Amino acid sequence: MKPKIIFLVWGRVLQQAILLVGLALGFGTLLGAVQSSLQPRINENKRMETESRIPELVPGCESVETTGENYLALGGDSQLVGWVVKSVEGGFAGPVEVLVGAIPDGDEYRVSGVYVLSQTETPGLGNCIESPEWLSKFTTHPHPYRVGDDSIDGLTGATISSETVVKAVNKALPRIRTMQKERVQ
Amino acid sequence: MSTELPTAGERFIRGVLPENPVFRQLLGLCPVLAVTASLVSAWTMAGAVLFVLLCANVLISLLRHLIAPHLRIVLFTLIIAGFVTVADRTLAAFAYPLSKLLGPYIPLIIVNSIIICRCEVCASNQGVGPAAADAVGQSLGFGLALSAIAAVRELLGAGSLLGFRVLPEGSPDWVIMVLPPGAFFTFGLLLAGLTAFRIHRENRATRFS
Amino acid sequence: MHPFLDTLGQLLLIVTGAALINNFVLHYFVGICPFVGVSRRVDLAFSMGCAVTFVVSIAALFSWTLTALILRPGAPIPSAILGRPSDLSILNYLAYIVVIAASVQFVEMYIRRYFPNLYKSFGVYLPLITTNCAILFACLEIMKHVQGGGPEAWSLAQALSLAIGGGIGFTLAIVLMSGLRQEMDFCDVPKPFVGIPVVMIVAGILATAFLGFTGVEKSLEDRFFPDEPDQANQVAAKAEPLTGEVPQ
Repeated sequence: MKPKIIFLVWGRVLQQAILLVGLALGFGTLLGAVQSSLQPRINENKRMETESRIPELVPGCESVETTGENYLALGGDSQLVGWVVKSVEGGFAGPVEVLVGAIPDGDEYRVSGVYVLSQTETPGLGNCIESPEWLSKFTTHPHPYRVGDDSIDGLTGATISSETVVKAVNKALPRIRTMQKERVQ
Repeated sequence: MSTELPTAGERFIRGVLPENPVFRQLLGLCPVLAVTASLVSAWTMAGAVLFVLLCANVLISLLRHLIAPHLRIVLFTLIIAGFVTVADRTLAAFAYPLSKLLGPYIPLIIVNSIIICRCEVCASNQGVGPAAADAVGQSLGFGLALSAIAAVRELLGAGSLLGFRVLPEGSPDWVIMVLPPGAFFTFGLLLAGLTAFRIHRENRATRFS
Repeated sequence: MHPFLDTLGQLLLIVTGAALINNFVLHYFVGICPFVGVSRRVDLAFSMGCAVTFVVSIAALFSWTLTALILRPGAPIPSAILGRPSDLSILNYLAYIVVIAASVQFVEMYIRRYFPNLYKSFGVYLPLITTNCAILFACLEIMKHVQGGGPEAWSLAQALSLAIGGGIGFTLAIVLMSGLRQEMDFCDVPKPFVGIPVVMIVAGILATAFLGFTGVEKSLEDRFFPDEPDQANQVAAKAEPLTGEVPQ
């Protein structure tokens, strides 16, 4: 009787082991296939999230060269037409990411567009910083910016969110300056 | 006494309303509150849950005679985690904005009580047919519950449905509805309403018996 | 400021953020199931909260180590073996589940050995911590901050701060709810609301109260870790026009 029980127990253990190995192989193959086929698409999506905004920020841009957080906007014949910089600043309820676009203006540069990539501010109040009308103020006023009547009007009920965007854009300006200096040299 | 296990058709019908996973069984409450700020995210979550529940139920049903009792729960969870990874990557590849909107709540499907409960109650006891029907029925019920809550929250909180402005432009938006408290209030009130309806029906039934 | 105090301050900021401002239960909706089913005994609720904090800390420790060293794109150990940057991040969720299940087992054995009465009162709820969304959520948040690699990737201390802060927040929420349920037993709750509905309404009111903490994190950051005022402004304003001379 005893050998039979031991055989049954071991048979069961073996069966479990085969099941586990089979599942591991099956899922390993499935996940490996998903990884190799989908990961390139996902990376592309992440890249395009930022790069698809650049033509809106820098008019005349046809292709983009990137060095991490800085982007060079290139025109038709690979001529430099502008720069785009990604900047982050802590907002009221979380970090606010902005893209700042600039075009050359003689020896200086001019901000040509600001776009809010991500924010978690209060719906209805703080998240009005995404509105194109408010963001266009950055292109009509000279840099550097302040929240106030003479520069960027703060949004009603969203003082901190407005200040955050202004700070983020101001943080981007020295980086644009550096890129502009490099280009002229 | 032998209990007859429900057929595939019965599993499907039961999952939608009588044994609704959210409002009757009170399972899977985390996504119910988290992704119902807009109808779009609610439907995306329901779709993801349908995919994972269907695949998990079918696989576990096929393997039900081979799984040892003490290994059950861990094995179920690992299988579900595998399918959730597939769903998460697929969503990120083909609908990246939706993936970002739902954020960490797609991977949290792994610990969603609905799926583990259905695997335990149905898939490990019945064949592929009833298991699949159960998965579809329960997911449909889940989707209905999510839609009900999301419709209220999005309409009152943003004046829109599926992103299209429905209420007139000037009407005030109750922003709190799309914030966390709104989720709790909406779910509590809807549940209370359904309970009140059920009590009313039971009273009428006992009065005429 | 002193670098050690700086780091400590940052860690405290993370703990406060996770416990109060972005409370796991009342803001992120994770851990709802034990939250609505919590017992009316405040001491039992507190013990459950402590158990969850214990589990989430252990889980955070192992999941940070696994993610930072093995699983993330470009992780050092597999990259060294393969000779090129590896990407095992597809196994993230599976790994976290295994870590969580193991952590719960470990804590269960510990409680069974040193707190046998507590073990008996927990009953079936202790193994159920495995399906507690809060723990997996903590692992996912840590993954989010470690995945990218580079200098901003979170250290182990930051990951543990998030986990402990989340556990504290969870404990706070269920102890509050447990006490409130005790009081509600003596109230005249309308019949349709008895049970979960009234718990949800009360939770909504609690969540509204916790909404008041929004913005506190930023104020604390500005107060204790201020940027040099207008540094960016000054640099931009001082940019001289180019004269063709090579700068020093």
